[in-house]
Amino acid sequence: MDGLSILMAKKMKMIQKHLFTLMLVIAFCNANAQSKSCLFMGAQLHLGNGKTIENGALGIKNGKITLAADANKIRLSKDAYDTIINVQGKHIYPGFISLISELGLKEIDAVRATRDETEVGLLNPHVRALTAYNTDSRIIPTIRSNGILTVQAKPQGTLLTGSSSIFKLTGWNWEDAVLKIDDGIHLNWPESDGIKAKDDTSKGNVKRKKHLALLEEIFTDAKSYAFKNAKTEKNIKLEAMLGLFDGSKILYIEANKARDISESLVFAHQHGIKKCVITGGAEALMVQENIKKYSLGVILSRLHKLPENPDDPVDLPFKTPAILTDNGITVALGYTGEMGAMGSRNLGYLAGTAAAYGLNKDDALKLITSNAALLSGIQDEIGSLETNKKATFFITEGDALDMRTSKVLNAWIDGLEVDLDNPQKQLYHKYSKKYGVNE
Amino acid sequence: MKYIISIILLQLCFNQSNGQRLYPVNGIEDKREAIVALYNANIHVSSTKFISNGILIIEKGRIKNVLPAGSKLEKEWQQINVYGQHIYPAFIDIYSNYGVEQNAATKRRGANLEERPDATANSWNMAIQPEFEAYSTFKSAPSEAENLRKNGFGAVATHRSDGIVRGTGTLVSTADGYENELIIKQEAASYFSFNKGSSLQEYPSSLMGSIALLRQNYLDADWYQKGGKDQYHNYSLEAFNTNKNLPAIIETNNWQNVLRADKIGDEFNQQYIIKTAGDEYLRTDEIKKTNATLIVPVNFPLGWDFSDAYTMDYVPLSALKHWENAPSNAALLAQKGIPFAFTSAGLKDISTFLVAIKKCIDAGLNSKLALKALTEIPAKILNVEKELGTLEQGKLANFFISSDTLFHKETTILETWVQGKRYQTEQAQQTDIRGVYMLSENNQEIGKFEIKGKKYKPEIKFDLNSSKYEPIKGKITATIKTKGNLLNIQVKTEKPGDLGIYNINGIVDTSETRTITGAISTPEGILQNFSAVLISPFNDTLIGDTAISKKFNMDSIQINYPNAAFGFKSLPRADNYLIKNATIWTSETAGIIENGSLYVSNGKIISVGKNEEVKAILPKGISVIEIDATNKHVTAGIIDEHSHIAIESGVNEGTQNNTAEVRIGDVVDCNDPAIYYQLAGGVTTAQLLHGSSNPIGGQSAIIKLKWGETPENMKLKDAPGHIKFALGENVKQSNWGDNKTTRFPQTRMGVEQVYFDAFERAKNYQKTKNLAAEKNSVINFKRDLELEALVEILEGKRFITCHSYVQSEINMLMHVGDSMGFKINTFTHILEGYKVADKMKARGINASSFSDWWAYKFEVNDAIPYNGALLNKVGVNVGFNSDDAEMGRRLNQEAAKAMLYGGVSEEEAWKFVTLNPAKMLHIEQQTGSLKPGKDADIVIWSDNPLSIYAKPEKTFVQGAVYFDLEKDKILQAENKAERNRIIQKMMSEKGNPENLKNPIKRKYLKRHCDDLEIENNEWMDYQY
Repeated sequence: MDGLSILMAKKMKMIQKHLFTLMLVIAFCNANAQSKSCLFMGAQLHLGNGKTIENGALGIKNGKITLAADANKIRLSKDAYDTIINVQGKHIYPGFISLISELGLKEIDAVRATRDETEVGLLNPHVRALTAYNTDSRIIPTIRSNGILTVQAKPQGTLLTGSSSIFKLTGWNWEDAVLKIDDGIHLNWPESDGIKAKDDTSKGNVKRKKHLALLEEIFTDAKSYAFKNAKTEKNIKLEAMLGLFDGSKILYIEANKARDISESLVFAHQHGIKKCVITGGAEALMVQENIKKYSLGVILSRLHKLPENPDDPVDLPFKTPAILTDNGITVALGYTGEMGAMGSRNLGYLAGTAAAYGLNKDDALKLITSNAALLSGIQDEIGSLETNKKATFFITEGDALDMRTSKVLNAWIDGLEVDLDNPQKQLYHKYSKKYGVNE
Repeated sequence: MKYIISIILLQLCFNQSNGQRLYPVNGIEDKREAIVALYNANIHVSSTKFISNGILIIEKGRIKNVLPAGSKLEKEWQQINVYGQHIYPAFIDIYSNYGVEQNAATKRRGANLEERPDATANSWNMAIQPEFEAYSTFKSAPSEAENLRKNGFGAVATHRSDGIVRGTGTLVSTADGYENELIIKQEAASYFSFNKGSSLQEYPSSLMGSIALLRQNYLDADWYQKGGKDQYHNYSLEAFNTNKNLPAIIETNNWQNVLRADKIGDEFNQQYIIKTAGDEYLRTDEIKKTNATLIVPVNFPLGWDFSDAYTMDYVPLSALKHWENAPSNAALLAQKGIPFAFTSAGLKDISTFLVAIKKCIDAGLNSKLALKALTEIPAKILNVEKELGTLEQGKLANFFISSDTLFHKETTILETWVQGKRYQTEQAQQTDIRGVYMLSENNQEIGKFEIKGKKYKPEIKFDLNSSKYEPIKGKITATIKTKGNLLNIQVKTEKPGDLGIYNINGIVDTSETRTITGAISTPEGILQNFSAVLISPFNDTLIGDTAISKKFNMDSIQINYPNAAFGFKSLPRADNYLIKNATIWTSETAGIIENGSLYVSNGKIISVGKNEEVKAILPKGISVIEIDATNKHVTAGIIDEHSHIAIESGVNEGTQNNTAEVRIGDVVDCNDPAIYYQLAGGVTTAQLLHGSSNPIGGQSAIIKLKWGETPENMKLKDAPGHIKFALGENVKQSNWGDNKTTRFPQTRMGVEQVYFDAFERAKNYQKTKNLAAEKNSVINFKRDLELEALVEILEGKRFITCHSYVQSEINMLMHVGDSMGFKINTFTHILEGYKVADKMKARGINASSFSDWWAYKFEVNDAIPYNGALLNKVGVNVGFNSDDAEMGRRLNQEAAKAMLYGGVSEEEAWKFVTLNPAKMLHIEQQTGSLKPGKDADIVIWSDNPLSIYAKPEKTFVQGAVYFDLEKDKILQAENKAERNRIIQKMMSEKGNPENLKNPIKRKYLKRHCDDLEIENNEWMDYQY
């Protein structure tokens, strides 16, 4: 049997268990891959652009979405689609997008040999996640099976940490998997202690001054390099930064303190950076005007955290996306921090939390779909269930933002159905069998 | 201000007998033993006795007598007129380091030091140094002594602040001279702390380790006394026993540690005198119950520089409040009748000491009590009331003379007498030149001048009828300097065009009518002799204590429970509640009841059922608070089987492979804001576990999350004992860096042997213990806290929670247990539990797992989120825990993952975080489900509790509401207002901005199993 038929056999089994109504049609649809058109009828379509269609019709062909509409309002000729699948009672979501992730770059936190996310050196704009991204990471299938279908792999480090790339969570190798090469450069803004003169001699501030001087230098050099007509000698570092000045690359600035957020954004602006996104943004609430004026938006660090300050309301981190969104700021959510790669399968629940604390569910969904696409420059390709976008989506039993109901039944990336099996499920099957218990 | 310049030796006194020489003298014998009388004195004999216009007589360094007004002055006495001045007994500081060399702090980085590197016949642990005697190294330090004296101190008990048992301190005077004569009491007290100080050894690394070490030391000493000394020599234990008769002073760094210290004292029949950190006003009721006398510092916190608006929120309300209220500490203690002495310890500059004491008085402390706390109480603590503390006949002549009553805001200490030796300040030797003078030149009166103002900062006004002095007539600026009886006045002319400087030099004669004679140099360069006679003395009105300040209103101090953001004004109390119209998740056979009611009284669940059923049996005639829970869900409170919140100074005592003697219960920290966070997430009970850095860790504590209560009140009464074991990478130190490769064990093979060894020893110990308990036994039995805990395990009285990941090690420990005769109660984490579920089931072992963690280290590579479901299906009692202060508040969501991964039913999944952990902790009779008779630990949820959208709206612990979503909003507003009030006050306060601290952003430090940091939570550090 070749790879596809193995996958098919497994799929059949799984479908028998979980999706009786879909069984035949899905098999048919799948076997014909991208070229055949397929229509999903009757599901709640969570478009990811702020709208939900209760009784939806989702059509795909050639890896793209051809239709996303209210089933009650459309008229189709019987043979408009090769396959029509009844998914009544189910939910369809655009694939979740996990930004500023270490997925694919890091396998086991505590084992150094498996870590490829942090390069040495302070100024590494040329260092690329692209070629280190490991499509065979054992973590990837466990993430994918929860509906996270796109990831931005980001190099870590001290200052200018490197260039990220965006991947779909399938592919034989990074070359197959990549959705956008070198989409942006990541900068950790040196953390400030405050503006008081008394601080100037503190260890942290001395180091900070050095780092700021380095940044000043490289961004100034990169800018003049960018506008130089005849480049006699190529500078690999400055070359990597070119896209920042014509808007083809995004500068992601990790800044958490209010002062750092505002300072870094003005820095970028003054150096002619076209597109900036704040990541982290712990104190974003204090500098919303700056964020609005100078950036595309904020990718907040993991919402499931304790309050920043001791007297903050206990749920302030949970409420932050709603407050920022209400103020017109584009917000996305990152699953950052400890165990970020493996934990990102919980990305949907971060959006669920935002929904529990002030956002409506449609807007909460945007945080990990269309907003995430917008803040990573892939909004024309994915992030919502809209025509001409990639057919990257998944079907669930219920509300995907709530772990109680978020079971993923099937998923498609670029119109191809994805194998939702993973090593953890396999162990589950193996040991269920050993003990003779029902799965 | 330059201070003491000369020492007038009145006596070479002390208690020598005549004719007996103690030192060879270079020259001839020159002993002078005059009797000195200070007359016209306001004598403050003690804090309660005052003699106006009396005479204080001193002979041979002691007080010979105190005579009332009108007594006759003898000719043979040296007479000193101290008119208008006040004499007080000198202060005593019994928490000093004066003249005793301190050990430098050591950095213990690198390899493990399990054994002490220096071989001696002392204690095995370098932090135990009862044999150290401060007197043996005491060396007087003149400049320090001078500083002490000029701030009123006549004697200090000094010690070496190093280690947990620090040895004895010695009481010395602050006089200058031979050390032989300065020591008043050779061994005045013995000193203790919870800080291991300069010890090079790893153990103890945590507060609970320090406590265990101290307790074991008491036991060892007792055994040594009873015959152990015949077996071997241990100078430390010997000294420890000898020192037991001395007053015992223990240093603490917060009020919780005050209570902990006293508890240890109670256990070993030792009433400690407790050196505090100045925050004990927060819980005076509990402090009072210790019966301890306190030694209270006055190093009040500095304020913060809030000029940067972005940084304001970094400083917690608790720290802001402490800044405001710390000066009232003493007053609040006094209000409760808690005895205390003051110490200058902790002050960077001792010259701020009196200022600080005055602050205490301004903040409500009675000035008599303040004096008592500086004199009589310290004397009493050290049992030297017969020598020191008051100015009564026969006591040491230790006193000082001040310009005004002591706590008057302009008081200056003029001279300090120590052991009869007089030490004057420069000011004291200065003649009071104030008054109106008639100036004569060439025997011709040419006008008057007046010197007024403060004695030590006088001002001058000329009214001279001479043309050459015309430019300086009236109010002018002058610099007046006096040195002894020499006077120099420099006057600058002020009228434009009359530039020039006058210099007036004179000498003051006070033998009869005060006169000044000297010369004036004019701007023209003429030197003119003059003579000035006092014609009208300066009339200085003395101001009494009452004029100090307006009365401080003690009621303005609001102390909350805890005194931090989200603290309560008063502690929540259990009430009668009827929660009705709810969807009730009983976690009992009744299942989920729609339209149900729950009646709660006296902290217990009385009835649960359908609305009408509960209503029917509702008792009549008592007031019941009704809560309409329509569309809401009601469950039992969540129980977190594996938590590391609310633990002070170290989660791990991982310095030895077996630390069964340490107890989390000793170090429960009731101030941790995580308690409130968990309540906001519906958690009502938590097991606080020792970390996992050693195979046998410490004993755990089970607490009810009663935010605001003291640690002891949070602990579950009569809870069964538990202990932490650990396996795998943490105990092998696999991920601790390349230095940590020497402590046994470094492999899973070694881990097994640690258990065999420990339990073999425990069994032998158990045998000896039983024999010793027999009638007529002659065994001198030594209680060993480590082995006691293991024997409790063998006897089924203590339950093991074992941190574990891979199936091989899980299997190993089960086999060790089988062969050594103990049972494992719970495997925690147990991420490969699904591989040995049948074996666990066969032994009735519980599983407390993470829902979906994995990939953070190699041993969790086969972890699967289906673990919980699989174990559950095989029949193991399963729970999900947090091991994390943040996830702890979302355990309801973690339970839902048992549905997501493995399809566990809703009702069953909910038990993963309630009833099942209750069973693991053996507290299921008391909590974990909604059943009549159980504790009213209840959560009212806005939605299905397993949903991400569900929020706890009310969390009850034992029938009292500890979290209320609506009240939380009010608290937020109140916190904000209170913060702002104090910040505004701080910003408007005058003072040197250099003394302000910068607000620094600190993160709440989450604790995990493998957390080796011993530092306290940074948010807490803000308090001090």
